[in-house]
Amino acid sequence: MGDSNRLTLVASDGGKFVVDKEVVQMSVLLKNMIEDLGETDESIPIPNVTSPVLTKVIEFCENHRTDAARTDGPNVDGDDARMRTAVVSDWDRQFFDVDQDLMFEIIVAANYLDIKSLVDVGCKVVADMIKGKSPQEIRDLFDIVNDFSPEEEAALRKENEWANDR
Amino acid sequence: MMRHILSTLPPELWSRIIEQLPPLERQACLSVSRMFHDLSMPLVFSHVHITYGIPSDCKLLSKIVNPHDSPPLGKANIRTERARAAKATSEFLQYVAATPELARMVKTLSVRAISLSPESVDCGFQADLVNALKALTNLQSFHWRGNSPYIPEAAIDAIIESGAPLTEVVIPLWNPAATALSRLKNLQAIWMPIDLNIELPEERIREPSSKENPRIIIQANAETLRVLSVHGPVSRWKVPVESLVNLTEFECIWFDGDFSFLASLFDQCAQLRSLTLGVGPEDLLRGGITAVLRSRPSSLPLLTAFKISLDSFNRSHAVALVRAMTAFLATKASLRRLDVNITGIDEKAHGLDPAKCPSVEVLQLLPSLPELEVLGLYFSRMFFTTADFDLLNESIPLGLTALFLNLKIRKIYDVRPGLFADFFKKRKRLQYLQIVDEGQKLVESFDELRTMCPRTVELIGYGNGHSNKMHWTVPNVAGQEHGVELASAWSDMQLWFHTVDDFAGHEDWEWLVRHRDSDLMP
Repeated sequence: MGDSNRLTLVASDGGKFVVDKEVVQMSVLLKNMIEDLGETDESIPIPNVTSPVLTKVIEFCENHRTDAARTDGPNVDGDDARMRTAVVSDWDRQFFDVDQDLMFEIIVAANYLDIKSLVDVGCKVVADMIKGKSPQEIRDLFDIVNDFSPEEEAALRKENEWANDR
Repeated sequence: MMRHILSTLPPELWSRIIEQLPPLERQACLSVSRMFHDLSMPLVFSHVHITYGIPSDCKLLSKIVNPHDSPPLGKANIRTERARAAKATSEFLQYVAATPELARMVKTLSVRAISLSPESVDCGFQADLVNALKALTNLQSFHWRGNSPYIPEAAIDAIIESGAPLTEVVIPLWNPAATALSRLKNLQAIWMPIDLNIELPEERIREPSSKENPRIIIQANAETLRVLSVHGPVSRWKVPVESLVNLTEFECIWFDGDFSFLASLFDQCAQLRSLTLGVGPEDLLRGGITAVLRSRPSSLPLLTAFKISLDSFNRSHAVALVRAMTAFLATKASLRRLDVNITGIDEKAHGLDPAKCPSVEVLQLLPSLPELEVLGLYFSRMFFTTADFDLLNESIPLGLTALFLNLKIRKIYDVRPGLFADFFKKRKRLQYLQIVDEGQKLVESFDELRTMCPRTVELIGYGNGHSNKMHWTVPNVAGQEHGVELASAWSDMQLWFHTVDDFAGHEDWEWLVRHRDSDLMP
């Protein structure tokens, strides 16, 4: 008989992770799944997430497990104001100090698993990478191809001029 | 092998990333690639700005700005620049009118009417504006700042004709379009600032018909109105408190200290969550605010934000007001935002006697506010000592996310260097930090502040009250415990006309800076 407070998650490559239910429930997707399943010893497959990525996702949730209760409470000022004051801690920054592929895979996995705090922090870390950079520097950073036609480039100049009136 | 980052992150996540960026950085995304362009367009053009006139028009009219900071343009250059700006504005408005997909993106339109010579601006401006407004079918918020020219009635008619779901207006307090404005219905937020670029002559304010302006539009929207902000003696305009009972946010700058109006507001507006009062010296002497705060300590139980601005040299009245205010606020356990800007009293004081320094009582209140995250404070001393620093350090909560500290110190005594580095090291949740250091410097320079602030700070500002700068930041290199690098700087226009969009949607930060315009001016 397994520990009713823990669950086994199975990554897409078969890697198994035994995790506290409380931690797993930071994922809205898994929380709903657990509620649907009721008490069970069955492990939960996570078909879209590999072991290295799932390891990181669990690490984040373990570290932020105490935050969850805080954000669950009633919020008189509206969700948006709270969301905007989410702080990226030094721990979060170190957590995302990984190669770009892994960073994006973590964000995609968090989005799939519906872990809002991880998506928010991840998006903010990527946004910080963009801050202060020119369009060419952004392209270089993420290996993006400039696919504008010359006509589109001309239209862009106008749009930039109008957007610049601040 | 080439990585395919774009294919690994779905567009909706890129959209959320771009959404996290400040306005200028979003604009850079327009030119990256087609996908970035298409994702950033609705964000960049959700709030568009139209300027009638040029920035130097605004500066030339200001008494606050130090002319040495940016020398005025020569006369010929001003004419050329005005013509260029007017042409660009006209082109843009025509493009909006002719491009429905762009027009649909616009949710907020800000017009800055700051022209020094309206007659020199292309007279087609009004027609272009009206045609563009008719196309803005998703317009939710319409801002008209300044009074040169006044808001044309035809513009209001165009908004009504567009069928836009308008819920918010920012309009000058005094304008001839009052009747037209009252045709706008279902407004949830009305902001009526005084025109900050052109000072009105006294006689215009005294004009009897002017008093009708605010009352007409407030009463026309009484059922839906939740947010009201006015620069003026609202009680004298005979706005019935019954038309304000649904408010959740109320601001009155130049409140006239009228006891009965404020008492009714406290008694009847139980839904109020945010209250801002700007009090003049005469209003303080009338004592209405002090009496209301003292007699109704448990009113407004839902209050989460409180801002007060007071300029007075009358120590006993100021002390009485602060004492009543701190007792009132001590019962507000949900208070998240507090901004106390009391000038004119502490400047000559030293020591920590609350009877001499109202700010000491304010600081002593802070530890009893468990939810406090956003704090603005004016702190002034004749002599600043370690005891003053310890009081600041011990009283200001560690969990703050935004701090605006206005310091005015005549002489620093007995304070070892580096104390503020220690102060910031402990406040690891700070995201927005603004220091205005008017007297002898406790923080020597912008660069010093930048290097000692927490790495969590995303927006940082520093100035001496005459020349101020704001920068978005990126965290300092990994491995450093503190400090940030500067990213894009705020333009003069943003410093003048800041909106919540300029703060990348951070309502807390915009609230903190609101009505502190002279502290932010470039």
